[in-house]
Amino acid sequence: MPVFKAVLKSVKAYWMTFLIYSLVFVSFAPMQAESLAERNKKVFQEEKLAVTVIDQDDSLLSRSLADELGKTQQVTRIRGYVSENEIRRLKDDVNFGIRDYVLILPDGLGQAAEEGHTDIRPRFMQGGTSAAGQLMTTRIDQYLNHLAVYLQSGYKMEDALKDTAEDLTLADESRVVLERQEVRLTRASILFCFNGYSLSMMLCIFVGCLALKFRQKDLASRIRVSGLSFWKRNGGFFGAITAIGILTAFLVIAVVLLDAILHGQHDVPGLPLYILNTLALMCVGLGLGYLISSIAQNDGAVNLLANMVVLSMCFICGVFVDIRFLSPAVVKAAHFMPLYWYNTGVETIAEHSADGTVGEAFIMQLVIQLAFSAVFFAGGLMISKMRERYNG
Amino acid sequence: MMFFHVFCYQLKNFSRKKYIIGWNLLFPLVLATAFYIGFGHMVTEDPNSFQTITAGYAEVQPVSGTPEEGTGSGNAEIFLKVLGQLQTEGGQNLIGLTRYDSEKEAREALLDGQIEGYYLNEGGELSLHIREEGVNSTILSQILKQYRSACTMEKRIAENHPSRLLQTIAGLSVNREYLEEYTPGRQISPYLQFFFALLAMSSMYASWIATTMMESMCANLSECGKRFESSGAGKFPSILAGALAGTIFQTVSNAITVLYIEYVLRISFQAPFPEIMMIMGLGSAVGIGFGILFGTLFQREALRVAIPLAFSMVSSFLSGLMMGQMKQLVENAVPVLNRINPAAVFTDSLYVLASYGKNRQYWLDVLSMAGMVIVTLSISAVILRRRQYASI
Repeated sequence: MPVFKAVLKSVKAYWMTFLIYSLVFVSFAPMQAESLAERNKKVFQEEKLAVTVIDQDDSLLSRSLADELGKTQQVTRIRGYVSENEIRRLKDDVNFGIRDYVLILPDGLGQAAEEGHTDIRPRFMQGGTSAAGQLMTTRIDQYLNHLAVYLQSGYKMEDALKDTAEDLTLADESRVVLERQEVRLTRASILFCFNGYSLSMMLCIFVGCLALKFRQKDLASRIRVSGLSFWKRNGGFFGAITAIGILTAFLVIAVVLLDAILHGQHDVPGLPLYILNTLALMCVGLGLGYLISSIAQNDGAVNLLANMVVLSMCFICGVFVDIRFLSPAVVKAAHFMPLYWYNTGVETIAEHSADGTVGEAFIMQLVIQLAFSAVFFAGGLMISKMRERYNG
Repeated sequence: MMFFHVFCYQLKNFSRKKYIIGWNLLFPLVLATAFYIGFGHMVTEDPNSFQTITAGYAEVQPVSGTPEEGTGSGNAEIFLKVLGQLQTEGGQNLIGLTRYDSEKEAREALLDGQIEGYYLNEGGELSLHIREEGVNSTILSQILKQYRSACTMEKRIAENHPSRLLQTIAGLSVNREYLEEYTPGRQISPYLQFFFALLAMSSMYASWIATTMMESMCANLSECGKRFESSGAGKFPSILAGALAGTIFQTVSNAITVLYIEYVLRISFQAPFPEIMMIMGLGSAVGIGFGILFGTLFQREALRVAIPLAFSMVSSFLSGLMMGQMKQLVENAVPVLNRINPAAVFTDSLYVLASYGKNRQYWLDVLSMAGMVIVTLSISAVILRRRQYASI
């Protein structure tokens, strides 16, 4: 008990670290969730893109085209001319995926279309050569081709626009069958995913610094000569760091629940499984922190090693960058890192959160994380023993 | 002479501190390697680039009922011809079509992942079967709608203006491209933003160099500080000399990181090296300036470690270290934050240099960074000038 209490009291010295990483989680994780979360759908819905239409023409054609796009896309309209700075900002938005497409309808477009000229053409900006850009270009070309055929057949612009809109509305009744219900990442799963960084960092630094402190010759000797048995001394220490880990893990889970409540959800599907997965990650964090403490010589080195290891793992294991975008070789290498299994666990839970049946795969993911934790603890113990022997 | 003396000794002092070498030199190299392993290939190849969509086609004879007029097997051949002719602006085939003998084969191929969707012709009625929602499914759906709307148009003109039918058919057989792409500046990968943010974080870590320097110059913080305050060396020239030494040290560290990224990892920043180094120098000076300010304002050791850490992390996150789009999101939501966040100004200057060259925005960023250096050093000078120690 004395060692247990001593460890818990020593945590107070690291309150600033705790505060920083908690604030990072509380501030940044919801931001990431806001931009990445998608809702699960049972019926096919066409991909809705964020499109900006710069209407410099303000003709019947430009307004009708913008209206038509507005029926199926998330359209932002800008009327009149825009400055170069604004064009650059829109281009940057498209480059970073904040907007999917920018369409510029130049002055005189409606007139040129009516007269059958193609010298004045709409222009577009898209991110690279993206599929989303291709979709929009196909859609707009379809509209303009359709309109051009009516105009060439002798129709007036108003009638051509009206009939084109009607034809496209009728065609919207096309049958599309979704063969498999797709489950996409929810807010909760993205928050738990980001947790892979926050919880790991907090526990690595706490446990690393605490273990280092209690290994100091003077302090370790005083504890050794006290009346406590070997089991009480070490049990107290490991019990205390486990208690810290559990408290931190549940704090993070509380933040996720609070976020769900603030967004009108009264429950988080698959919560018990998320809790299990988080506790497995907690064990990994504790083990990694213990291993780092056996290598580092001071708190600064613990911080440095924890940042290097955890941050690098987060980028390679799909915490900050979607694992779908990583190359197959990187994904294979990630199999040898505990955060990959935690992340996969989060995805498994998200995929099966509707029916709650995760199967053997999830159990395996938990076991692998616990195995990593055991390896880290064993490694830490071995290295500490070797250093004690050589340093005396 | 004293200025040069302090400069040399501070440079030696920084290069002997292991944790400064670790955080300011080694950590950026490790993180750059992790970035490269994780998504280096996405910087050189656009992961969102359009790939030909694999699709299938199968026919089923109806059990009963009359086929939909105008969409019988004969017209199915027209539909297949249309699919084969569709191309992107770059001349790439839009659809890679496979014809299946039965619906069962097509469905198996779909669920296996060999195709993204298949068109099913049930006695003339066309439908689309897909496995999951997304942009490609939407493009396939769009093609079907385009075909159906063309059939509707033909029917309408045949009913209302039969004399124009031939013109209509001639018009439908030509698929013109009306849009032209507009790309102001150069297209650079959005994943390069991670590397820019890494350099920004590394520059902000220079604040730790400055707090270390301030510790050795303040009488109430260290024995060295007492000796310094008692000496005849002018406080302001000494701090300037230390700041210059720190800036050069950090600039050299950043230069090593840039050279490593460009020549070892082979990721180009799309800008000339001397101009990149000029921004590195300014960024390092900003980090040093903020570090001197923190060292001046905060006397407690815990705060002198935690505040620069929090400052570096928060400013780096908001400039896109963990989420590449973050800076652009902030630009749209709270643009003033990007003007005062030194990491965001730093990454913006690199991004603008790479995308648009040395334009007005680039010079504004450079001036902002220079301004931040002047402001932080001025505030520190005013506070330190008035500081006296009653008793040490």
